[in-house]
Amino acid sequence: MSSLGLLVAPAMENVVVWLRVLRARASLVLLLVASVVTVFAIAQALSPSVPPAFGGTIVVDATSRLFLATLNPIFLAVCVYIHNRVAHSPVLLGRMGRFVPCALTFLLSCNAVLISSHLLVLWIALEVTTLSACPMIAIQGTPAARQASFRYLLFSFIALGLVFLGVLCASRGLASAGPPVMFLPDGLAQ
Amino acid sequence: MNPLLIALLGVILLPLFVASWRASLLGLAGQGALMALVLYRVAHPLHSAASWLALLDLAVLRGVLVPLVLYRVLRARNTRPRNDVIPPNLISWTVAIAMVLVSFSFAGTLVAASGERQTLVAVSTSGLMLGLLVLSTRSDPLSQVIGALRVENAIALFELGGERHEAQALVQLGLSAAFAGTVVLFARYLHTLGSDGPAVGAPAEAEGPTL
Repeated sequence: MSSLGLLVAPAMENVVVWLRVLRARASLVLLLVASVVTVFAIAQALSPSVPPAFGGTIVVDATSRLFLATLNPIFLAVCVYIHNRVAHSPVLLGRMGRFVPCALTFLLSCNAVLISSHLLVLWIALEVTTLSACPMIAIQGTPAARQASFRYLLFSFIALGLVFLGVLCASRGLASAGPPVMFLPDGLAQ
Repeated sequence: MNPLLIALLGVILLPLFVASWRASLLGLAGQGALMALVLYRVAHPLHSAASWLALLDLAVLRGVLVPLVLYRVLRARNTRPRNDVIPPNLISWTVAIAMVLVSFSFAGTLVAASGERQTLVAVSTSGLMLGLLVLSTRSDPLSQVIGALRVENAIALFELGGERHEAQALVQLGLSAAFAGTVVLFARYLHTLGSDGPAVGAPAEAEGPTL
């Protein structure tokens, strides 16, 4: 159940941060959500076994635990830095209304990548990380930032397209070998 | 299905030789519409919601909405009509034709039995290689976006061949939404960067504190 918290908490706060009252305190909201999600992630990492959810689409295995316990604390540290930076440079406050939803979507999709065992869902989550990272890269609004953001989107789009092609080829190869393809790592292992 | 695939190959090839962004967008629209027809013939009768969503993705999203969104952005920016997606010289055109021939040869090796499946692999490989050719030879944002969408369409065409797996409707919706989101971002960048990128020698904007 707490594995869903890794996804639900950022998603809920993403809605909340659109409220005008909270937009002024967006960096604080970001810090709070990152703290909650980190607690969930560490709880996942320490729990002995978590049953699969959504018919095996969400599986927290050993690799997921390792990366959940690494990525989320790093994100929390970044949020502490951002909160501190915004407190000392009020000019940045105006950008936080756009930055925080993107950062929370990024966190949500990163966690979805880590706990998803369905290759297509994983691919979609990876694509969402790109879509949420691009506005953060271009947040300064300078031509150089926009250009960098565009290049990042382009390279990611092509790279993920080729990954998708790889998934298709793997599924074709497995289908020709006999067993039905479920787009799950367990299916691939068989 | 073969006439459809041959028409698709024509739609993929022709905009390379017509130096106009309108022709490129028309080519993308044609690719979407023809791929939708191919899917309709391959998967007919469509039973599942996922199949219908896939058909809508190809016919409406790739065939109509994506070219329309890009058209509106380019028209609003008064983009000059001429846009070469590959360098306009004999070498580029020869390379493009050679890529198509190599693709057909590759498909002959990959799919031993000649027929529709072999042609589909050949056309999708041609689309992929020509998309990569556009991406590698032009650096302006418009050509790069068109190249990227060509690559994406080629992969979507490849997906139509072989045994069809029924993706869950939600997964199919997610795939379409991710594609639509990327195209919206591309349109936004075309709007802010311009089809030729930022002007050379433009005064740099003052940068504020960064995160």
